[in-house]
Order: sequence, then C-alpha cells, then structure tokens
Amino acid sequence: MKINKELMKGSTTILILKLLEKEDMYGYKITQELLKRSGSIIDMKEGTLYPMLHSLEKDGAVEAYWIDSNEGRRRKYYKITDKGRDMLGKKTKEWNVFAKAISSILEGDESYGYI
Amino acid sequence: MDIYDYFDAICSEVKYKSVHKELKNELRSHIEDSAAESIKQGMSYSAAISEAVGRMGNPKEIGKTFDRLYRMPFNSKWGFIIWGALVIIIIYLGYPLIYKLGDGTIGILRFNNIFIGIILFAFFLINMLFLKRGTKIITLRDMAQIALGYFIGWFITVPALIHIANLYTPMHYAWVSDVPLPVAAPYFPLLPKNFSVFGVEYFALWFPLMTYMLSATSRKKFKLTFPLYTFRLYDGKMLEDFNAYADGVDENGNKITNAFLPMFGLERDKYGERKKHIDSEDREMY
Repeated sequence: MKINKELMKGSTTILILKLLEKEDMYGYKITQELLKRSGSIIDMKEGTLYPMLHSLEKDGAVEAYWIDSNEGRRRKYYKITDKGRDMLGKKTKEWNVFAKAISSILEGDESYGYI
Repeated sequence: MDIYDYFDAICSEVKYKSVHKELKNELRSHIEDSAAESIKQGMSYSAAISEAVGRMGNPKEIGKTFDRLYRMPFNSKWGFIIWGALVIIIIYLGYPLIYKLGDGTIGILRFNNIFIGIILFAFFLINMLFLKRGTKIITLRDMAQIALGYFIGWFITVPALIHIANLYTPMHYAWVSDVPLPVAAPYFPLLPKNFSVFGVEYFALWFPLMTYMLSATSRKKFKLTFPLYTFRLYDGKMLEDFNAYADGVDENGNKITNAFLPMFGLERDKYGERKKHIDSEDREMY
C-alpha cells in the first residue's frame, strides 16, 4: 500500500531520530531499517532522507562523522545529540496525542472529551 | 544516467560550492550500498550502479532541496564576494559616525565610547544572522572569496572617496570634512611618497572572516587538508559493521566475495575526480 506523501512528510524527522536513538547509522542503513521495521511500508526516498539529515545536522539534532573501512569504503555516520533526544521526546509525545485524537474521531467515540 | 553526470546535475543546483565534494561523497557511498545487493546477485558493476542511480530520483529536485538548505548569501554563487565587498563599503561609509562618537583618534578597532561598541556589536550580529540563514562549513575557498570581495569593495570605495575628497578637503570625508579617510601613510620605500596603500582597515578584514567562522555550522575538531576543500570532521569511532567488513564478512555473516572487494576498494583515491566510464578496466583486481 503506497502511503500518501502528505502523511509521510510530517513524520520524517521523528522516524530518523528514533532510528538513531539507539545506534549511529549511515543514510543507506536508515532507509533499509525503515523498510524492515515498518514491514516495507515506509519507503523513504534519498531526496527526502539526505536533505533531512543535513537539516537535522544544521539544527544540532544530529552530528555526522566519516568512517573509513579497511576495504576503502567511506561512510558518513550520523549520531543523535542531546538536543536531538529532546526533540525526539517532544515529537513522540506530540505524535501520540495526535494519533490518539485521530483514532478517536475515526472510531466515532463521542465521549472522548478533552485531554 | 552516468553517475558523474548525475552528481553534476545535483550540484548544478547547489550554489554553495564548498559542500559539493561532501555531498558527492555521501551520495556515492549510498549508491554503492544500493548497488551492492545487485552485484552480489551477479549484475555487472556498471549496470548495478546505473540502476542504483536511477532509483535515486530526479537530480535537479534533490539539488534544489539541498540548495534551499545550504544557501549562499544573496542566493548567488558569488555571494561571499558580494558580501565581503558590502562589508567594507559599509565600514568605510560608516566610519565617520564611529570617529565622531569617539575621541577623534583614527583606528576603527579602537573605541572609547559605549555607543561605538553597541554599533559594532549590532553590525556583527546582523551579519552573523545573515550568514547563519544558510549552512556553512569552514573552507579556505569561502574565506578566499570573502577576502576577494573585501578587496574589490576597497577598490570601489577608497579611490572614489579620495578623488571626491580632492574637490573638498583632500584625504578627508567629503561630507564630514573633519574626519580623515582611514588609509595608511606611505611606508613602502619604493613607492612614491603620496601613494596611499591599504589603511588600518586592512586589518579589519578579520571582521568578515571572524563572522563567517562563527556562523559556520560545524567548528569542532577541524583540520586543514590539501587540496583546499573542507575542514574535515573526524571522530575515529569503531562500530560493529565496520569491524565486520574488516574481517571479510558482512553483517549477516556472509563472506565477502571477490566481486564485492574490488568494488569496495575501487577508486578510493579517485573520489570526486572526473571520469566518464566505470567499467571493468577500473577494477585492478579483475
């Protein structure tokens, strides 16, 4: 099932930060992990991922460093910063509130009330 | 599409030239990873690369997204030159104000009045925020452009000020005749006695350079490498899959075959260099 672009747009930041929460990763690995952990639903394009990574780096949410491997491969790894963890925490809360709100409307629960 | 043409298409949209090499390196690394699976299954190196490039998407759009993020001052690839020129033009035109607020001594860096400090700090802040709109990495190329712009600005402003001054009070500002033009006395022995050279404002070149360096996004642990491209951020962390490759096995425990190793060892020293074809001739191990 192809997910609408508008739905995807708002969640790129939180997805990337979440992946980097436990482990430093390079761009390609991030796209593969997103596919894997979402059951092939989240297929983030390079044109979305890399500008977002660079933008997060500019904001100080992630840091980048290069690793040279023995075979001569060079990869640019990204690592989440404290500021990034803060951002992730806030956005996760925000997402949960939002998702709950949408769900309750879709399920027609009129007695939901205010949070 | 040929991978080098693809990168050129992306970079043609990115006006901030100093980031081109880093972008190409990162995207190339991605393409090689993307092609790895196909190569493992027997596809030829160049075909796998072409296919991986195709999967990446429209290069111009990718380039535009990067350009929006990195940005040059005045949205022009000559932005640093324009900015450097503007800085000194403003300094020269604004100098009488500083001079009048102070105790009348020449020396743009010397001030003894709080308002001078406030004005200079405000000027610094405005320029800092202006540069910070884009993402900058500290490079000598940028600094050279800033310096070039600075001297161009000087050549536009100072001879004009000197010539106009000759109609009123020589070597003074035409519109504030008691303020001398801040150009140096002729200390150079071989030049004619009334030949004015760069004044103390030459040392104010540090102002735009300092502003630029403070506005840069990454400043930790930089070292200068030749050719003069970027200050490299290097942190020698070791990660598991880096070690895995070093052992000759990938992260799934599969042995890395000969088809893999040449690709990994390929063209390490040719990163960023112009090449039209990638074919089997490039793989020395084959």
